[in-house]
Amino acid sequence: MKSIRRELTLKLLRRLFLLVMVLGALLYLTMRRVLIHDFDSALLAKARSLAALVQQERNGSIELELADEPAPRKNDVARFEYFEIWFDDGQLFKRSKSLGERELPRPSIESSKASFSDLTLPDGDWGRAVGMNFLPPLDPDPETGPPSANAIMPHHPHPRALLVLAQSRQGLDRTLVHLLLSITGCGLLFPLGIALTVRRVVRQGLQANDRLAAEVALLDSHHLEHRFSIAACPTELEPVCRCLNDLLDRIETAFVRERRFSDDIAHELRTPIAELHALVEVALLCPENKAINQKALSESLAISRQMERLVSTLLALARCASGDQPLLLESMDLGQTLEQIWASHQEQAARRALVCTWDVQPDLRVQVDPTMLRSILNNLLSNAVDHCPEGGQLFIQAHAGSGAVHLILENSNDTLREEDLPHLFEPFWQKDKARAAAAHSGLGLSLVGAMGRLLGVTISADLIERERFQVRLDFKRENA
Amino acid sequence: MRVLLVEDSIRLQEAVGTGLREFGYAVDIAGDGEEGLWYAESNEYDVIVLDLMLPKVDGLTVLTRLREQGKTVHILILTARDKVADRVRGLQMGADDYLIKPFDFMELVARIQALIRRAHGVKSTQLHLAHLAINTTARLVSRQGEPLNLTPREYALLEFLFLHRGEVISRSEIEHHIYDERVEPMSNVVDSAICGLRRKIDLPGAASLIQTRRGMGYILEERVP
Repeated sequence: MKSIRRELTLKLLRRLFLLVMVLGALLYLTMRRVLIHDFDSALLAKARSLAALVQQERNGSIELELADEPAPRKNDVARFEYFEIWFDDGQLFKRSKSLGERELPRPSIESSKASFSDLTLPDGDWGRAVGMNFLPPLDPDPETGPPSANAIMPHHPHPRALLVLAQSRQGLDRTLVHLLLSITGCGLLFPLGIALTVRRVVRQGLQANDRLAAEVALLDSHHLEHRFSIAACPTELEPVCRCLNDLLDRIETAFVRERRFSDDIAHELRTPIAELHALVEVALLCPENKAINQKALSESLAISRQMERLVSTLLALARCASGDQPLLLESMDLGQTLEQIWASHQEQAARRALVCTWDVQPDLRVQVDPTMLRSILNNLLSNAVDHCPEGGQLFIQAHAGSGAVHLILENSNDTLREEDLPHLFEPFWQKDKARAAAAHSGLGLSLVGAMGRLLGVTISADLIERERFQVRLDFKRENA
Repeated sequence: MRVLLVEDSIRLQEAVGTGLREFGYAVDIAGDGEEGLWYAESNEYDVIVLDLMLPKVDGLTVLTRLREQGKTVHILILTARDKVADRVRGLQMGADDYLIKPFDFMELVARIQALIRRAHGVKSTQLHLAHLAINTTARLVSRQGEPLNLTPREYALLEFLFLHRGEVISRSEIEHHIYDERVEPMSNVVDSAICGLRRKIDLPGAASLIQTRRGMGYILEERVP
C-alpha cells in the first residue's frame, strides 16, 4: 500500500540530496576557482616583484638585484619557488638556485598578459607557474631621477625578457582537498539531518491527516449525524472534509430512507401476521365460543386477502424493476378507460362528498399495456378519492398535446407538504407515520412509477399552492 | 389485574382484548397515542401494552410522557420494529419489556404475568396461604390440593388479594384493578364477588381467609385461632 508519508519523505530526500550535491559541487568549483585565482594573483605579484628587480644598467648590461637567495628548505612551501628569466632571443638570463641545472618549461607568450599553467616541479611536486613578458627598466640616474617607464638606453639594445615563476601548489591542493572533503562530508551529513527533519516535519504535517482518519474511523451507522469541522481542518484538507460531509449527507439520507423502509415493510408485513396469529390463538383458547371463532375466521380471510394484494403488488413491483414484466401493447381509449375505472371509485367519492370535475377530450388513443394502464389509473384514482379531504374537489383532465396525451388528476390537499414530494414514489412511503390507513400500504404510487417507466409514460407530482395535489401523466400519442 | 392495550390495529385490539379478558384481565383499549395517554393518566393499570407506530402521538412519546409524570406502571412495548437499536431505545426510554410482532399470544400473557409479579415483588409462580394454593402461570387454584373451578374474574380477584395479602384493599381499588371500562360496577358488585369467592375458597365451618374491615375494605390473611 502506498504511504503518503513514505512517498513524501523519499521524494523530498531524493530531491534535497540532489540539490545538496549540485550545490556542493557548485560551491567546491567556485571556491576552487577563487582559491586558484588568489594563488595565481599571489604568484603574479611575486613574479612582478621579481621582474621589478631586473634592471638595465647605464652601461647596457642587465642585472638582477636579488639578495642572496636562501637555500631552499624541504617542506618550506612558501619559499620553495623556482624561476627562470630569458631574453627574447632565447638566451637564459637568470635561473633560481633551486632549479640547479634543471629547467622550467618555457611558454610562448605573445601578449603582455601573464600566462598560468600547472606543471611538475623539478623536485617532482605538482606546481603552478606564471609566465610573463617584461621590459627590464633602466637603472635610475642619481642626478636625473628615475627614467620614464618606456625610456630606453640610447646606443644599447633594450631586450624584452620572459619570466617564468613556478611555485609548489601543495598548500593550495591541500586546501582544495580539505574543502572537497568538507563539502562531501557536509553533503553526506546534511541529507541525514534532512532525512530526520523531513521525517519529523512530514509526520507533524500529516498529523491533521491522521486526526481526520481517526475521526473517519469512528463513524458508523450510529454516528451519521457527525460532520467534519471545516473551520478546524487545514486548508489542504478542506476539500476532503467538504466531500466527506457531502458523502455523510447522502449516506444519512439513504440510511434514514432505509430505516424508514424497513420499519414500514416490518409494519406492513408483520402486523397482518400478528393479527392472524392473535386471532387464531384466541379462537383456539375459546373453542366453544362460536362468535369468537366466527370472527376469527372472517378476519383471517380478510387478512389473507389483504396480504395477497400486498404480495401481488410487491411481485409486480419486483417484475417491473427487473424488467420481467411482459408488455402487451394495445391501442386504448384513455377517456373510456378512465370512466371504467372511475366507476369503481364513484361510490366512495360520493360517500366522502367529493365534487368531481371532468374535462376529458374524446378519442384520446394511447399505445399501452391495458392491465398496466388500469392498474395505474386505479391506484391514482383510489389515492385521490381516499386522500382528498371530505367535501373536497377532484379534477380529472385529459387532452392531446403536441405528440403526447396529457392526463392530469388533481385533488384537494390538506396533508402533503413540499418536502413530501420526493418520497411519494418510494415503496411503502406514507404521510401518516403510524400507517393507520389499512386500505393503503404505500405501494400504489411506487407501482405507478415503475409501470410508467416501463410504458414510457412520464409521471410527475406537484403541489399547487399547497392546496391541491396534482399528478400529471404524459403518454406518447399512438401515431406520434 | 387491569391492562391497557394501546394499539391502532382494530383486529389486534379485538383479538388481544378478547384473549386477555379470557385470562381474567380487565382490559381497556386505546386506538391511538393520545387516547392511550389519556387512559394511562386517568386510571391505575398493572400493565400497559403499547404499540410504537400509533396515530396522533407515537408510542415512544407516550412512554416518555408517562415516565416524566412519574408513572411507574409496567409498560410492555408490542411493535413490528425488530431492530436491536429500536429495542434498546425502547427499554432505555423506560419500557419494562419489548415484544416483536408477530408474537405468540401465550408469550404475551406470560410476559404480562411476569411484569405483574415483578410489580408486586413476587418471584414464584406458586402462591400459598393456609389451605389455599395458586399457580399464577396455569391460573389454577387448589384448596387442600383439590382444584377449584373459578371464573376468570374470581381468579383475578383472588390473585389480586393474594398479591396484596396482609394489606387492606378498598372496594375502589378492587374495582379499578378487576373491572375495565366496559363494566359499570354497581355498588355491591365487589361485595357479591367477594362473597362468591369466599364460598369457593373457604373450608366449611372454618373462618374465611378474606376478612371484611368495615368501612375500609377487605384483607386476605390466615386467621390465627
